[in-house]
Amino acid sequence: MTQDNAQTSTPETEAPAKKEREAACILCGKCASVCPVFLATQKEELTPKAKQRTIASLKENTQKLNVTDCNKLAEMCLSCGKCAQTCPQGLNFPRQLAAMRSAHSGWRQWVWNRWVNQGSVLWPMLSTLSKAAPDSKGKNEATRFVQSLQAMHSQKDFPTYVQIAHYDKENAKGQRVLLFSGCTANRVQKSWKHKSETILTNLGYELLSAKDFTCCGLTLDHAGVPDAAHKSRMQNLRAWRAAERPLLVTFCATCYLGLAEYAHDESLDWAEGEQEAWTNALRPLSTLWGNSLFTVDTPAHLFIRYHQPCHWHGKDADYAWLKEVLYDEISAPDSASCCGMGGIAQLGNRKLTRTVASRCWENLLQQPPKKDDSIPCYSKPMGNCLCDLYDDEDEDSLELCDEVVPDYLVITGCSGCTLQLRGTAPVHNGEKIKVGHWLDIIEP
Amino acid sequence: MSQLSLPQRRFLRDLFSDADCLLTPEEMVVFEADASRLEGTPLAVVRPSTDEQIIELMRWAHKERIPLYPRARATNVVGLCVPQKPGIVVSTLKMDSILEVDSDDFIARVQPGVITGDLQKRVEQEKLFYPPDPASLGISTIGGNVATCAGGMRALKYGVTREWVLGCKAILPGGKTITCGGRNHKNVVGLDLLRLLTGSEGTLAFMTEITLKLIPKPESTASILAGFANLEEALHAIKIMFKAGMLPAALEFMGPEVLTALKNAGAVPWPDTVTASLLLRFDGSHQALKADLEKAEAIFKACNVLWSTTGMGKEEEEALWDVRRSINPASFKVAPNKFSDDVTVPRGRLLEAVTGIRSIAENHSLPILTFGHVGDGNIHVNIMHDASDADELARAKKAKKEISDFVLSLQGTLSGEHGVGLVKAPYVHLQLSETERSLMRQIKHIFDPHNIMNPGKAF
Ligand SMILES: Cc1cc2nc3c(=O)[nH]c(=O)nc-3n(C[C@H](O)[C@H](O)[C@H](O)COP(=O)(O)OP(=O)(O)OC[C@H]3O[C@@H](n4cnc5c(N)ncnc54)[C@H](O)[C@@H]3O)c2cc1C
Ligand code: SF4
Ligand code: SF4
Ligand code: SF4
Repeated sequence: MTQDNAQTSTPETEAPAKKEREAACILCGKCASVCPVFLATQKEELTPKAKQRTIASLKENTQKLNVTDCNKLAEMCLSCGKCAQTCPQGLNFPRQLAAMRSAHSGWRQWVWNRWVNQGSVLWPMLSTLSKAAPDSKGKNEATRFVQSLQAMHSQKDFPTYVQIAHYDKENAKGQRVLLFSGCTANRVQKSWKHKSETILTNLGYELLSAKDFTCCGLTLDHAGVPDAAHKSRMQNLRAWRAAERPLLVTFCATCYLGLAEYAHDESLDWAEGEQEAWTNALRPLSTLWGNSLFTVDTPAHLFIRYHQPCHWHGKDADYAWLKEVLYDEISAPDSASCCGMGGIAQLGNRKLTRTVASRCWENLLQQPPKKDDSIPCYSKPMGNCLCDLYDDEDEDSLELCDEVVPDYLVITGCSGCTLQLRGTAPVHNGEKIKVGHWLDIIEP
Repeated sequence: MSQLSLPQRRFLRDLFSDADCLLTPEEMVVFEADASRLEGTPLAVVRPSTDEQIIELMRWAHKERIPLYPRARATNVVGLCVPQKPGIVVSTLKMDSILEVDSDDFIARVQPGVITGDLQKRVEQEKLFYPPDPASLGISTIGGNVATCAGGMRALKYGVTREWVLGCKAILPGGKTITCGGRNHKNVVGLDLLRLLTGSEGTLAFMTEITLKLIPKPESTASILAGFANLEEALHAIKIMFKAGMLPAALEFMGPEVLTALKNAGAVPWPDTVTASLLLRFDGSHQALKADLEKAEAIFKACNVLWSTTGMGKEEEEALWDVRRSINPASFKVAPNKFSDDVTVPRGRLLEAVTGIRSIAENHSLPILTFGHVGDGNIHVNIMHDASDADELARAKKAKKEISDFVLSLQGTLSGEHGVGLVKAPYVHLQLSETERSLMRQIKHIFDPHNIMNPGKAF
């Protein structure tokens, strides 16, 4: 146990009271199998388990370990939260790390400098951070960065394969909604916001003005700037209250997680029953379709691969819906792997986020497994294989199939993942693989 | 030895890249311990990725008399990866390729660091099946599973890891390579070295390649979770089921203390009157499964079942099996420390064993959880205690010893699957005679004359 036992009385003087069980790492190793940093490196010293053991050792015996080196190991984290989801002891390394960071003097200056210089995928959140910037540089600088990011990332020629044939207005019944678009959509990818607004309106919702919303605060929290995070949360909570607590809709897994965590944040000035109301009001956009109908038109030889954002923590409403609409046209890698976006890790450890990203791409570019009862196809490409046309021909027609090189399109449901994957997309068939949010392939 | 000499360090640095040769205490913290939570002192950690590196390492360590500790995911719970005598930890995690899956020969050839669950997924794509399923299948490796002869829930129908190993390539201290078995499903030439290595707990040789047997994948599965008023009725129901000619793929049992622990850790689906519960899984064709479930339900009904629920196919079954999976975390809410034993008794003596263990628990006023793979007589016994309380610790130790003696008196074994390692080494003499143990030591000596492979473990 890592707790200090200074206050515990000796057994002779007092019957041993049942101590509060401190959550301590039991070294079961479950977290290793989900940690993207470990999976991309196979280095056991980078597992959450190792990080927990390091923290425990530091508490017990500061002599043994060199604190700076321990910090370096600890920083090898992408804040994906997967370890916390898996740990039977409920240990949450990214949270511990954030606390360690915010306790560190000089940290804020470091964050600001790095964010400005290196954190391009984090720039959308920069303007929020700028309010808490350690010096007077501020908003203007932030705006400049966001503009350059817009230039880098906006993808206009995105093919829209999904049309909406019929909007089901049954569920909406004119309910009022606030759309929480998040920093990235607001600043870099306005089309997501516009499409979502159109969808919500067509589904029969009454759209309220969301101009008072700011960043959800999640990234700021992980970055170890809790006061800035707290301010953002308060502002969002007030905006929701001012709108009389309507439905709160997001289309980004990370925003969803960021908002969902509000309900567990006791430092917000919740009124009685309000936490529950908040949780109930929060909806992923993809759960609002009801019985709407879609027409799908995808080219042959296209693999639409879905990247599962870590922040859904396994309960991905987007993919469930996409599967319904696109059926076998869309597939996801066997095991979800992190894109390496990693929030704050972008600032300290670009190399790590790249390593993790390459593993993610490896998985994404695998060919989807055969359908269960399909007739075996002896060539590599799946889906609309030319074999079908040459079924009755003799052997050598099979070789035709090998000539068919599939195209890939990657879609996801998180703003951060989209930017990270766009930034790291490899070239395939002479072209950079296109990456988009699922809203990109929809024509509302 | 408490430190490597400079030339020794240089040797390791030359043989391994910087990223795969750890020498600082900060990087090595996690390698001090494994899931047993016992601790030792790693002098260095290396991560070979080729056979050549291992050969060279084994040659050198043999000459230098430096202990080597093969380590995979370190999920074993008996201290098998703990460098109790200071030595070099050899991580197998970079040797993680599935070398081939051959659906004509019905074999898979893998490197030792492949995660068992990953291999299963891979062979299932070809409609093949690798049955051993330790609960740790998603977090442990084939190498670790073979070295500990891991068992799982499906052992009842399919046996343990040993039954599925056809061959292996291993490197001996000194650097010689041996090949045991191969890709034949039958093979009787020579003494069976393969069986010797299987379950040898890393004490004889370093395995670099393993060939496993596969079978066609059963079409589907179905499960039933049932609650009974007491232990006797639950175990009686099992007896009747076997007598009726049914052989489930898995049959798990959870005793009264486990159900209480589960209830305290979260909501449970059964009513309060249930104090013992059974969890069964069948596999086979869809039609057969439907019939199996009906038959099992009828038998349970005749045996006074209080509550039951069924699931057809993986998705439906998950919720049922989640219950079983939450035992381990729930156990730590009962007390911070546990001695976990996985004793096994002949299948017919199960009731006797569980009742006896519970009365030992009562005598020492300790919470002892009993659950496990009852179908094959394997009972997990968790003796929960608070090690910071001297009296409680002493009672726990005493109970552990009594349970060992008791299990042996039923012609059982001290470990069905977790192995001996450091944790059970002090008790081995209770089960094995001096003649047998001396024979084992001599065999070890032939493989490893300087005792460098995982010293101090197993026997
Ligand atoms: C949550 C949990 C559930 C578990 N459930 C089960 C269960 O149901 N059934 C069961 O049997 N066990 C179970 N275990 C124990 C453990 O998972 C098994 O013992 C497993 O086989 C260990 O695999 P590993 O990859 O972690 O190996 P490690 O623990 O790293 O190593 C185990 C042994 O294998 C040796 N070894 C590893 N690779 C090699 C190699 N290449 N050459 C030579 N020796 C080698 C090591 O030296 C060591 O002695 C469980 C453990 C946990 C934490
Ligand atoms: S948050 Fe993600 S990257 Fe960080 S330790 Fe946990 S699993 Fe690994
Ligand atoms: S899952 Fe939790 S308890 Fe298990 S090793 Fe990881 S941090 Fe430790
Ligand atoms: S989760 Fe959304 S709102 Fe929060 S920082 Fe990221 S983009 Fe901004």
